[in-house]
Amino acid sequence: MTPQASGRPRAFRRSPCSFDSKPAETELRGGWTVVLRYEGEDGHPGPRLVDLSHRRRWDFQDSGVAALRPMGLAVPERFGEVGAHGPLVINRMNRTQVAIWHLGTGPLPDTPEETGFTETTDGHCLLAFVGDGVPEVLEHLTALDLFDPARAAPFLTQGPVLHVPCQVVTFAPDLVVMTLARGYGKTFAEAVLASGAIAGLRPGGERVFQRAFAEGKRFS
Amino acid sequence: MSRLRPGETCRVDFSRPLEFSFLGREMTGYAGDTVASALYGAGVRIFGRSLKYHRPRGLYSMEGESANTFMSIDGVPNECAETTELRAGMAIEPQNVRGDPGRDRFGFLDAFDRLMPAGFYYHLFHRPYALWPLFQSGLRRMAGTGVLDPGAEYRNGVRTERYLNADVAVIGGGPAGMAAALAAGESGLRVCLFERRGRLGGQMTWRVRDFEGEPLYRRAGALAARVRAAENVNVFTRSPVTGVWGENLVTGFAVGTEDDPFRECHWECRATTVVVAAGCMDRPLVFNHNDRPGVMQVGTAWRLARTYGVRPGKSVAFSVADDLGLEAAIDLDDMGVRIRFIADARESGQQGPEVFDALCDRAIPFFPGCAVSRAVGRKRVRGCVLRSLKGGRSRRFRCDLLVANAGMQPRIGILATAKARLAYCTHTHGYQPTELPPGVFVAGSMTGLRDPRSIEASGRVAGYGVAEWCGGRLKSVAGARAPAREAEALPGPGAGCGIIHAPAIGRGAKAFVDLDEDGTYKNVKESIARGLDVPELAKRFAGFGLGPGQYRVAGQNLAMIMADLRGDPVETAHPTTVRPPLGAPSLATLAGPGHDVHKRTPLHSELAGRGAVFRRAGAWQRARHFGDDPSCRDEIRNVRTNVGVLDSSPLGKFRIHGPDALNALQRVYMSDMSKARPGRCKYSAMCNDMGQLMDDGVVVAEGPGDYYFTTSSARAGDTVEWFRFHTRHDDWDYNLVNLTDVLGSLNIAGPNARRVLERLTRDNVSNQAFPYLACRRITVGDGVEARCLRLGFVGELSFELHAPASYVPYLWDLVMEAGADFGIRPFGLEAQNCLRAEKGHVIIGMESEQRVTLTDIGMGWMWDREDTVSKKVGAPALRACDRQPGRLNLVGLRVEEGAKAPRDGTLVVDGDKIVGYVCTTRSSDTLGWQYGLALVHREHAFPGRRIHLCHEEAPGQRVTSTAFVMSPHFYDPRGERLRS
Repeated sequence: MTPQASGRPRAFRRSPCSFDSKPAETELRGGWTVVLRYEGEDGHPGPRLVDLSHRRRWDFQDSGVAALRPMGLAVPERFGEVGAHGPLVINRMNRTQVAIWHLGTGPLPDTPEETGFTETTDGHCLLAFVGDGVPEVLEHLTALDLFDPARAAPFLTQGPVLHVPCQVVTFAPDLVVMTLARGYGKTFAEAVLASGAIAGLRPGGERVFQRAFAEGKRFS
Repeated sequence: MSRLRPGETCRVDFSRPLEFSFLGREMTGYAGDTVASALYGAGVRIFGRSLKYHRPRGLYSMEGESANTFMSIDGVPNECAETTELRAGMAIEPQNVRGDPGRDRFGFLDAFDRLMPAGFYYHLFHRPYALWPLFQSGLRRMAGTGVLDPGAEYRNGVRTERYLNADVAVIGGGPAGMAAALAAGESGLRVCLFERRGRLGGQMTWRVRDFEGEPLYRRAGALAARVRAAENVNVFTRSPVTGVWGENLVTGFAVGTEDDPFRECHWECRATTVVVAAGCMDRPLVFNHNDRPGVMQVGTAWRLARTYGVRPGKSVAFSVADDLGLEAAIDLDDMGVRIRFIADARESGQQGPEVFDALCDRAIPFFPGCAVSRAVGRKRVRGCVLRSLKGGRSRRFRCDLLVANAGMQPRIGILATAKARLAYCTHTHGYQPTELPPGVFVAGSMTGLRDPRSIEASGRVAGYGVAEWCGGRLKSVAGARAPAREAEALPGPGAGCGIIHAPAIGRGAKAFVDLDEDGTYKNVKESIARGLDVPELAKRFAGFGLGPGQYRVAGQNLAMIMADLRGDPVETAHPTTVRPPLGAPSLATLAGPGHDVHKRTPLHSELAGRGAVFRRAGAWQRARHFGDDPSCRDEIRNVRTNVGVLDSSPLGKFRIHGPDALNALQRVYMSDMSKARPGRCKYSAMCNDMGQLMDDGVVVAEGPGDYYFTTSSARAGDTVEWFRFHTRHDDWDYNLVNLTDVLGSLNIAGPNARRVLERLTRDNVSNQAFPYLACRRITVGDGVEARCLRLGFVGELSFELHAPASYVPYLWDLVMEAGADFGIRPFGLEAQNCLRAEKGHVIIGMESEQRVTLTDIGMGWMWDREDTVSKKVGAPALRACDRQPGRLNLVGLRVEEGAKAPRDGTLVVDGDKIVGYVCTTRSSDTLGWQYGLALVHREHAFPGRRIHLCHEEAPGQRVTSTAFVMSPHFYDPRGERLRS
C-alpha cells in the first residue's frame, strides 16, 4: 500500500502524535516528515521521548510460528522474548504471533507475500524513551515491571501504560520502545510528556534514538 | 522564646528564620521546623479545641496521632501541624474554634457533658421527633473539623503518581528497617525503603545514648549513609505508607519539599516481600484531664528538645512505664530542662543499675509503682497529682509540662491492613503478630525489642529472610544464618507494662481514651452498660477511633479498658479493625493527574478546523456535529441532496486468515458466510447466546481462507475476544488482526458521491462496474491504494474508503478538493444517526436491547436457519423464541400532525399499560414529519395501528399524544437510491 509519489517528494503521511517543540532538523522519508532533532535538544542530558511511528512494523501470525523464520528471523522461543537482528526486532507475543519492527538504519524489507504477514505500521504509535532517567519516567506511567533484572534484555512486556494497552520492549535502562493503538497517540504523548516532566522528559528527534540503538550491540 | 541548641541531633537550621502567621500574628520559626514545633517554639500552647466539648487542646504527639493539631494552613483545612514542614509565609489558623483558642465561645459545652453521653446522637434529641431536624442541623454544624471554601482551588501544586516494583518493600527507616534493606540489597534484591519522616534513623536520630562507643544518633547516621549508598536500595523519605494490600502491594504517598517538582505523589509498590519495621509509639496513659495543653507523649517532649531545639517546658513531670521514658527524662535533664519527678508505673524491671545511678546523680525524684492520676490546670497544665498504683495517699506537684505514657505500643496499623493475625502479648503488653501473610516479615522494636543491638540484628534477620524467600539469591545459606545466631545471643523482647489506666480515674473529671472524638472513660462504661461491650461496637456507638488519628490513641487502650470493665483477662481483648488509608493523602493526590487519554481519528485536526463539536463515544473522541446547530439540518440536507463526507475511522476493521477462518466466521455470524465472495460485501450480524443483536458489519473474502470484515465502532475492542471465546473448544487454526487503527475510513455519501469519487481515481466506479455492495481496491491521488466499499448505511449512494491511517489526512484533502465544486461538506454522528433512522437502519443499543432478538428487530432474514452444523452463536435462542407471543418488535412511527413531539425513550402506552417505548425519534425535513423507531409489543406492531405516547412533563404530570405504526423504512423503502 505504499503510494508511488509522482513528481517531487511530498509529505503524504501523518504521524499519530506530534510534539510542541520546534524541530531543528527534519527529513522527508517515504512520505513522512521525520524530525531528526529538536531545537535545544543537544544540551539536554535527561530522558527524551522520540516518535518513531514512521518505522515499519508487521504482524505475523501462524499456528506453527515457532518453527518458522519470518523475514528470515529466528522466532524467540518463549513469550516475552525479543530477538534483535540488525535493524529488525522480533517480539514473541504469544503462541501464534510475533511482531516485527524495523528500528535500525539497515535495509528496509518489503512486506513478504506469505499469508501470515500484515503490515501494521499505520496501526500504532511507536514511541521510544531514551536517556538517563528513563526508569523514573516510566514509573510515573505504568505499574508494569519494565526493568526486572531477572529478565534478559531485550524483553517484551505487554500491558497498560497510562491505562492504554501497550507492547513495551526494554532494551536497556536507558532505552525503552513501546507501541500502542494509533488513535491514542496524540493524547498519550501529551500525557506522557506531562507526567514525565517532573523527571525531566522532553521530546527528542530520531537521531538520539538511532545513536542509542546503534550503541545497543550489548543486546544483539 | 529561646531555643535550645541540642547539637548534632537537631534538624533545625537556626540560621534560616522563616516568618509565618498564626491567627494573623506574625511569628518566626526556622528551616527544618514543623508547623507544630514552630508554634510551640513561639510560645503557642493551645492549638485548637476539641470536637465535642470544645476543650482546649495542645501539642500531644509528633506524628499526627491525634487531631489536636489539625489546622487550616493557607486556607487548606485539616493539615496536620505535627507533620507539615514549615514554609515561609504560611498563614495558620486553628480549627474548631469560635473566636480565640484561649477563649472559645463554645467552651461552656464542657460543662454540659451529661447532655452528650456515649452515642447521644442516636438516642437524645429525638423526642419530640418534630424537633429532631432542628437539633440535627445544629449538631451537624457543630460536628466536623475544618471548613472548605467551595470557591477555593485546593488542587494546588503538582500531584502525581508513581508505580514501583521491588523484591522487597521495607516499611520504616529506623535501624531495623535500614538493616533489613542493607541485608536484602547485599543479596542482590531490589529494595524500596519507605520512611514517613524526612530522614532515616527512627528514634535513634534523637537518642544520645551510647551504642558500642558512639551515640545512637551517629550510629543512625552511619547506617543511613550506607543505605543511601547501596546500589539496590531505593530510599523514599517523607513517604507514609497508607496500606499493604493483596499480593504485597504497598501503597502510600510522598510529600514533596520545596525542592521537589511535586507537592504530593501517590505511589504503589508491587513487592514480592514486605518487611514491616514501623516501630513503636507511646501508649497514652488514661488519667483525669489527660487532654490538657501541656500533657504530651514522651517522644513529643524528647523530639521537641532534641530534634527541633524547642524547650518543652520549664518544670517537667514524667509519668512513664518503660525505659525509653527514663532515658528521655535523663536526657532532658542533661539539656537543662528541670525534671520535677519521674513516676514509673512499674515496680521493677527497669534497665540496669546505671539508670538509678543516673537519676541519683541528677537528684531526680523517682517514684516506682506510681502514676499521675490527674492534671491540674484548665487551659494549660499547672501541676499534677501523683498516686501509687496500690492506692494510698496522693501527692500534688507543680509543673508546666506533664510527659506521660503507659509504655510503648507497636504500630500495628500496617500489619493489620496486611491481614496479619494479632494477639495481645502478656510479656510485652502489646499486640504482636501471631500469623503473618506470605512474604510479610516483621522486625525492630514493634516486636517488643528494646536493645538497639537486638533491633538492628532483627532487621538483618528479616533482610536475609526475604532474600531466602525471594529465591535464594543469597551468597550462601550460612551467610543467612549468621545474623539469626547473632540475634539469638542478644536481649530479646523486653517486658512491657500492663497498666490499663491511672488510679482514681473518673471522679468528676474527664479521662480521655480518644482525643479526636472526645471519647472518655465514662463513655466506655456507658457503652458497656448499653450492651455495646466490645470495641467494635463501642467504636460505632461512641466514635472511639473514628477520628483522624484512627486507632493510634484509642486502639489498644480501648480494648484493654473494655476487657477490664467486663472483668475479662486483658489478653482476650481485641482492638478494632484498622482501616486504610493509614496516612492522609489529599483527595487531589488520590484523584491523580487526571490525564484524559482518549483516541482520536486521523482527521481530528481537520474536523476541528471545520468547526466540529466533539463528544466521547467509547474510547474515541468523535465529531458529533459541525457548527452551532445540534439538529444538523444542513448536514442532513446536504447528504440527501448533494454529497457529504463522514469520518468513520473508528469503525471496527479486521483481517481473519487461516485454514479455519471460515469456520470461525460461520460460528459468530448469523448468515451463511460461505457465500462471502471476493469483491462483494456480505452484510451480516453477530448475536449472543440469547439471540440478541451484538454487532453487524460486512465481510469480504480477499483470498483463500483470508477475509476482511468490519464491526461497529463500539464492538471493535471486543471482537477478537468474542471470536476466541466462542471457538475456545475447537482446535481451529485461524488468526485475527485488528486493523481498526491501521485503517482510517471516509464515507462519501449522497447523490453526487460517485462524481466526487470519479475525480479521485482513474478506476471505473460506474454503477455497472462498481454496483451496490461491491468492494474494490482503488488507487487514489498520488498512488494511495484504498479499499472502497459501496454501502448505504445512511440510505444514499455511498462509498466507504478504507486507507492506511497515515494517508487519511492526505485523502481528506483530495476528497474535499474533488468535492468542492459540488459543495461537499462533512457531516457528523448526529446527522448519520438521523439519516440512518430515516432509512430504518438499526444501531445496536439504540434499537436493540436485551429483551429483543435479531428477529424481533426485523433482521431475522440474515439468519441461516438451515445451518445446524456450525453451531451459530444465538441460533438455539432464536429458534426458541421465534414465534413466542408477547415479544417486542421494532416498528416505525409517524407522529400525528400537531401532536406533542416525543423524545428518545418516550413510553408507548395502552391505557395504563406500558407496551413499548420510542427508541429514536426526530423531526425530518426530508420526510416532512416527525418519525420514530419504537419497540412495541407484537400485538401493537402492525401498520396503521394507532398507538399512544406518554410524555412526562414534570414528575406526576403526564400528557399523551398519538402516532401511527408503519414500516421502519421511511425513506426510500425500495432502496433505489442506494443502488443508483
